[in-house]
Amino acid sequence: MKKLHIRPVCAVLACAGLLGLVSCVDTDYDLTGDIDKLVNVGGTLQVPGSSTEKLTLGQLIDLKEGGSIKADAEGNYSLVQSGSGTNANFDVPAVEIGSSDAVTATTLLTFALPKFDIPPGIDIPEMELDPILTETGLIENTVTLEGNNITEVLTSLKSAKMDVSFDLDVNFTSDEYDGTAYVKAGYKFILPSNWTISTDASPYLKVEGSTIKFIKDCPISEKLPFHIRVKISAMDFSKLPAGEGLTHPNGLGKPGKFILKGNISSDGQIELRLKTSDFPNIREIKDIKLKLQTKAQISKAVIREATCVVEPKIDVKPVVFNINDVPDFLTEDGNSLDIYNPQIALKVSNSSPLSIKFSAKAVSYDANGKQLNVVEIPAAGAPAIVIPGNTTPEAPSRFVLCREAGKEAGVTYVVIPNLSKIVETIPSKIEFTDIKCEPVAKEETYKLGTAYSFSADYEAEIPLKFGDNTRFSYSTKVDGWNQDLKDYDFHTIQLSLDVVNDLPLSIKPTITPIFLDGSMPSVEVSQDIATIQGDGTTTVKILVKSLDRKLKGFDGIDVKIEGSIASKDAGKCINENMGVKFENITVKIIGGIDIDANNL
Amino acid sequence: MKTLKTTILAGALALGVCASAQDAPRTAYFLDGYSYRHELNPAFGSRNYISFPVLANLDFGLSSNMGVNTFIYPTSKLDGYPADRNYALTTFMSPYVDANEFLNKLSENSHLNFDYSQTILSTGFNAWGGFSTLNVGVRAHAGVNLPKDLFRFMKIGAGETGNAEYNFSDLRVQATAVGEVALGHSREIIEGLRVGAKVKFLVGLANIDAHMQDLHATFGDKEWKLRGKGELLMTAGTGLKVPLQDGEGNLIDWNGIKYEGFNIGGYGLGVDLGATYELTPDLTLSAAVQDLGAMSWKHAYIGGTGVYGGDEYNEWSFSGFQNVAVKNDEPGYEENKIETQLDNLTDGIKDIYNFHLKQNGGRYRQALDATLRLGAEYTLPVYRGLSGGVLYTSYIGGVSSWNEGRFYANFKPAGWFNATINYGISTFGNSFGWMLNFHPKGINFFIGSDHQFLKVTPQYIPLGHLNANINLGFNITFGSKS
Repeated sequence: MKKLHIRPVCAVLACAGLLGLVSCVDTDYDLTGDIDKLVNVGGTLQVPGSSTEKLTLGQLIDLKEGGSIKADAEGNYSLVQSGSGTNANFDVPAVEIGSSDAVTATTLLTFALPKFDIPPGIDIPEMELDPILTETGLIENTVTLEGNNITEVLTSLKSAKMDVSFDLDVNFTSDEYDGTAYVKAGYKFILPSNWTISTDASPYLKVEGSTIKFIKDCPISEKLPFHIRVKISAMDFSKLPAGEGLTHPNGLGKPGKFILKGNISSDGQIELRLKTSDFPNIREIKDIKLKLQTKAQISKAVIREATCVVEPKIDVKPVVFNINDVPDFLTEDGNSLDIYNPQIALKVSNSSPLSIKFSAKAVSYDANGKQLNVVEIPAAGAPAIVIPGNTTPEAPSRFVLCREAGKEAGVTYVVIPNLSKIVETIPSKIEFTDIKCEPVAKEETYKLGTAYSFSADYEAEIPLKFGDNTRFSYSTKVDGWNQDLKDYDFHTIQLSLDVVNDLPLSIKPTITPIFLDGSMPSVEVSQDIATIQGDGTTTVKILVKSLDRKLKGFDGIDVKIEGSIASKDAGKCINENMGVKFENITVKIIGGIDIDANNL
Repeated sequence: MKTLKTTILAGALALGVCASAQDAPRTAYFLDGYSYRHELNPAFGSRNYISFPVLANLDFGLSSNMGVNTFIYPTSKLDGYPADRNYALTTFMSPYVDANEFLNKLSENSHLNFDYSQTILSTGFNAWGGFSTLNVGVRAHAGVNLPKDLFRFMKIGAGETGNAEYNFSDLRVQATAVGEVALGHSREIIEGLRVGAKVKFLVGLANIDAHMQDLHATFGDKEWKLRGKGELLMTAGTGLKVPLQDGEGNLIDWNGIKYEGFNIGGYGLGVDLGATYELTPDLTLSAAVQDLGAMSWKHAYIGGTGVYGGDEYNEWSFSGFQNVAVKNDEPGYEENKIETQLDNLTDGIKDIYNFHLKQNGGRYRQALDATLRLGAEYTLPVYRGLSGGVLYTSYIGGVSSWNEGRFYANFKPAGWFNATINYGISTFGNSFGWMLNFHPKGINFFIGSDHQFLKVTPQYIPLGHLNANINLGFNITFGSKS
């Protein structure tokens, strides 16, 4: 019976020992080794549609003080750059004309005495005779003014203001009479009609036009001639006979020659007032003869002001202005910016009366000094740019070189259709060279011997308005992500967003993933990116999918943006308040995120 | 000292005693020689005994419906696992672990319970017409309940479509420690019918119950939504100090919790009722219902996820980051920058599950988790030392509830030795149980387990469901058998 009891006990003990103490060990689950803590989180992760605030250009573009891109009060962007002003001085020298020799005209006058019927022996009583008048007839003197080496600047001379003294003496000589003769009121000297004259104050004289007229009988004697100081204040050379005036026998551009012949004529009556006692032998004298002399002499003539045509040489040096601190996206190689209406303002002051024809070449250069484009100013075949005279730096003439004329009063718009070529690629500098300032041959009144100044200030104001031929590209690389993502792995990332774009630019982005060491795992990148239209909303979808479930080494993205301008957006200025807003941004990570927590 | 006390409290909570927690293994249900069978059914009697100090009845138990092989995978068995990754094991979160394979291993709620009981003094003796018991001891229970959707979310996120709904309700952490004084008596009232009852006086030491009663999450491509309600009950007498976070209203500062002195946290009363009926000389039926009663806790900190108290739901939604600011010199940048919006996002999520203190010094009552047992034992007529048995156990404890059917082969070859092997099918999976019980005159030694793991890691950690327990004890017996 005891045997019967002990056997089951042993059996139970054996079972217990077998099952309880010697359980099956599964060596696949050796927990002493490292456990791979690579985990996949999320399955599919999708953040609900998010949005950013509007990213304005004002936020994105970091304008630097002193940079060429500026925003005006309304936020409109322009490339504004002033060029250092250029100055040129020129003068029209005073003209000196040599003095003439004195010219004397003599006229013999005969004064018939009355016949006395008093017998000889009888004394003729002393008494005054009736005045004896004699017509002088026309007396003519011709004076000549001549000058050589007249400045070549002066190409024609119409009139002049001058300060010339003209001495006119009236005298007589006589063998028979040494008394006084009277130039009778009404006697006149007729000077050339193109002279503007005046005389010193005299009770005997009156100037009527170019005629000097005696208004009162004027006594003259052989010893006391009557002197008239005539001042010539102006001459009109417009109606001179051929061969007189300013001539250029050696051709224009060479010193000229000046010849002026002035005919001075006089006419009137001379009166003698005799007494019988003046002539002891009065019975024997039938007449008295006087030689009336008129002497004319002009002093050195200096022309101070002239209405003339001058052609001074105005030498203007090239002007350079540098374009500074322009945002990268505008300066990318390969850009072709069809700036809608670039404007280069010229503020020109010209103190002379001379009108000047202005022309130049605008040349753009890149940062390496390579010439980019040349634009003729004005455009070939276009009317010349004529800069008027008599302007000051405070009130200059304002010209605007542009593609499309504006309407601002007081501004002369010079339309240059291809002006945007100069900024087709935003240059590092623009140079105005081959500047030609050619005088306009036009009679103006100049103060001769005065220095005139010409200055031009340039200001390029290029509103960032683009025409529809604009093509620009911009590439940027955003990398270094692997530093943060090295312990994470994605299988598929799907990015979808709506781009609300109120920029007048149509943008076509292309995104290429960057992997470390340039490796490119088996990645399928599908981009459903329509061109992001200007002033509209566009949906963008990007899918990056690993074909071998590895995006490890994903280090960033290479973004290339191709931009253009739709016709409807041409001419709209880029404004700092414009920008893009991303809406309905959904980032969907399909297959979750692999996190290699072994390295964390 | 405070640190030590806090540590003791934490340990007690970690061990957690549940009034309903078993302190006798089910594997011993049909072993006549097992002194503590009355713990399983108060109608059971045994030989007179008195507990041996410390070693009377030790029970360590770990039960779960998940285990090592739920979460750890040999890489050699995974399709596509790269050969250049020199790891033998990986976790369930590995991208190479199939989501369905992992999720199919999980129940709708994953439990992890740890039980510990220690009998301080226990005696049973046949007197007053029956078998009477007196038991003094402590019990601790800690349990965590993790909804399956929590793991589904971790594994598959918002699903293939990016739209998914999850129910994280009953995400719960519980821990309880109580002392118990139990008086029991059983007797045969008519021939073949034996009834028993036990009254338990319970002294609460500590209790914490953080329970997200309702938590639903919706992840969509348009919106994420969370809606939830949670309750926090916590007490350890007046010695427990729960501060609030500075400047955060009534938000609990978990890091600042201190335990400054022992004090009783509450009282409770429980009743066990049981009966056995010898239907035939070979077939005995038994039934028991245990832990009918409740605990009343005091000096409690009562909180909830709602800021203002009450039963209000917290709701949070996220419709994406809006108007994210980019330039730091623009007006409104600080309010709209991505970092701020991320902070708001995480703060919003935290508000769903962060507990706010609503009452300090409050009281609450908790029903004891009851256990129902129905058993039947058939003794082979040809050999009375061998019997077969079946036991149905239903543990009624809310989300921690479980059911088990267990089939026994009992060996009673000698008057000094009993043994059993049994196989259980339960909420926690299948398990093999055994016990050896030596009870020659004067002593009673037993060792056994409800959950004998059959497959272990090389470190002897059960590979399957993490069900393991060990029960052992040494007691002194005296007198004759009942």
